[in-house]
Amino acid sequence: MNHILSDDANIQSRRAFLTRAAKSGAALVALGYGAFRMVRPSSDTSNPTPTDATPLPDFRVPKTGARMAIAEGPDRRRGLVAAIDALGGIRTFIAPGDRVLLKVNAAFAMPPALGATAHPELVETLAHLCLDAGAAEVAVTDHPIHEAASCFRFSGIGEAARAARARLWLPAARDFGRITAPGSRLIRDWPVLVGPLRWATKLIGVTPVKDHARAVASMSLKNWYGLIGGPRAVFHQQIHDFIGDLAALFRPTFVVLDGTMSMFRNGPTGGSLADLKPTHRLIVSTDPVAADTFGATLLDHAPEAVPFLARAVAREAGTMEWERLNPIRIPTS
Amino acid sequence: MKAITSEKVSRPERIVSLVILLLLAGAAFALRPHRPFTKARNDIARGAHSHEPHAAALATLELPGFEPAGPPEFFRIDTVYEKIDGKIEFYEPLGFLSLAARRWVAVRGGRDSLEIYIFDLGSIEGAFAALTLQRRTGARQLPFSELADLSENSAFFAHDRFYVEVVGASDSPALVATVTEAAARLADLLPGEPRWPAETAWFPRDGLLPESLSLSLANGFGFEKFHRLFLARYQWDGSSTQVFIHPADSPEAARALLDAWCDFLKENGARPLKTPDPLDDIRVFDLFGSHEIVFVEGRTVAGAHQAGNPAAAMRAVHALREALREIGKP
Repeated sequence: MNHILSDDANIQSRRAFLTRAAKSGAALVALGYGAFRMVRPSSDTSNPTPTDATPLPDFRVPKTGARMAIAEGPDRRRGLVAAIDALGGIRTFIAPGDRVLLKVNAAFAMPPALGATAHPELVETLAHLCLDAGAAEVAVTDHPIHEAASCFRFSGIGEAARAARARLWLPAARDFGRITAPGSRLIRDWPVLVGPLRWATKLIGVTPVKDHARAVASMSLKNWYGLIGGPRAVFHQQIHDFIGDLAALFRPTFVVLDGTMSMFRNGPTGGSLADLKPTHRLIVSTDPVAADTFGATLLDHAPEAVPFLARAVAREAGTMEWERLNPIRIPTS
Repeated sequence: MKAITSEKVSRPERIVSLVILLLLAGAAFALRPHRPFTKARNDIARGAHSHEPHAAALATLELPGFEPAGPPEFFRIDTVYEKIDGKIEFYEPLGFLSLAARRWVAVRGGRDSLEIYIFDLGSIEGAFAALTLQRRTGARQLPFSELADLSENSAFFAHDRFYVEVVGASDSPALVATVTEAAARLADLLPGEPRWPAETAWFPRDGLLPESLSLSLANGFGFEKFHRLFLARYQWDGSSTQVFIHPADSPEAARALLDAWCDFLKENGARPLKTPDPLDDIRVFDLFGSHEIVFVEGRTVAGAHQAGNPAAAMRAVHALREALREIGKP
């Protein structure tokens, strides 16, 4: 009867079982690893991005605290100068010898009139202000979702940078490093545009107020998305958590939130001038969360309707109670 | 004594193993990493997508005074966010299959440019929804199609399963003329013709604001079971009412959908009201000061949404029900 086995047969049977189990286990581990890489692919497998373990710089100027100015009027240049003056002038933020990075929203190769990208007038004026304050150099960068050169060309930002003698920093593979953001469960060993961030001593965000199909609104905090590399669309599924993490990771000197013409529908691309409405507000704030909370009101959104704001507050990136900053309002028209 | 044949594998074991391996191979193929963006973008330059009618239309379109700024681009669901970022959240529920895009710049130089986006949404409903849900205030109809609008600097139209945007860089008259011309030429180059979903004809014409006709294919009114929601607005005596139609597969399915919609309204604070005629199978709710009215006619759920003027809304609802009854007659 074959179910009555000798000791020798039992040993061989156990050995065979263990061998099979080990092979199966190895196959499962290999399969799991393969699946993990598929679900979370690296950004560029042919040129792996090196890990960058050094914490990103905090670009805030400690003595300024949380402050905010709102210029009211249709003229962007005048509004920007007036708002910065209201906060003490550009020298409050920029010291001689500073290397200033302007993180603009150049996400699309679209003309400035459509309001999908940072307005070139703001980029040019801001670069001039920083250089006049003694900045050693000003660089303008973004990692657009579309081809960078086209985005800077058609948005007019490239020309504005050149006119102001600012450096246009087109992201290259060597500019990325893998970052694990403290306290983030999403930004872990993920490519970030660290090159210009390591170069800079000051960071200023420049972006328009826009409707956004997924994030509800695209403003100062969403603008940091353009410092992320890799297949970052995966984060769209958790967009509000992700923007909250961005708010904690990038601590700017200040932000310029352009609500002169707000894209109130069909964002973030728009396409028609009819998608814009004149809201005539330009915000300069050392607290991006406060700026965005006010910006949401330009789109007729209550703060609770924009979930990433609360996420950013939870990450101690600023306050939604923008009125408590006693914003200085400056009529410019 | 020779041990039992421990290394031998039985036939059933082999078959099961083979099936598992095949399943795993199939899963691996389905989950294969997406192609790099740059490769996908450049494919069209090598003609890889020239068989796609919208890509072919962009490759052959000629615009006097303008020249292409580069080859046409082509995106599928795995790469399209590189072109339109979060806007894919809008197109995906409409049945997005692919996007072909190309930019033209003025030959004489200067800043005049335009970019054309052609979305293949797989159905006339998808294209109609893309056009009507984004319809710009003040847009005017273009002469070449009832489903084509000009809004300041840009033209938008639905053509068979395609939704097209011709986006001008400014609203200068010369550029707008080129934008309009480009739209008309593309309509000739694309296969098919402008087509309205059949349900749009169910709305009675009296009092209808034609530009208000629209279609939501996902989460209509925030209610997940409304996934084919036709909307229209009526105006009488200065009062405007939005009405809706949602077809179902059968009268029973329509009634179940009506019940689910009523439950949803109540869960969100709606208060049932008595109807003027108890024999009338129309349900009315007060939702924080506005009125929700709903009924079933045949295999269709219909009603009024967020009505501020109950009398005008009831008039619109009765007209709509009468029209649906006429359609239902053999």
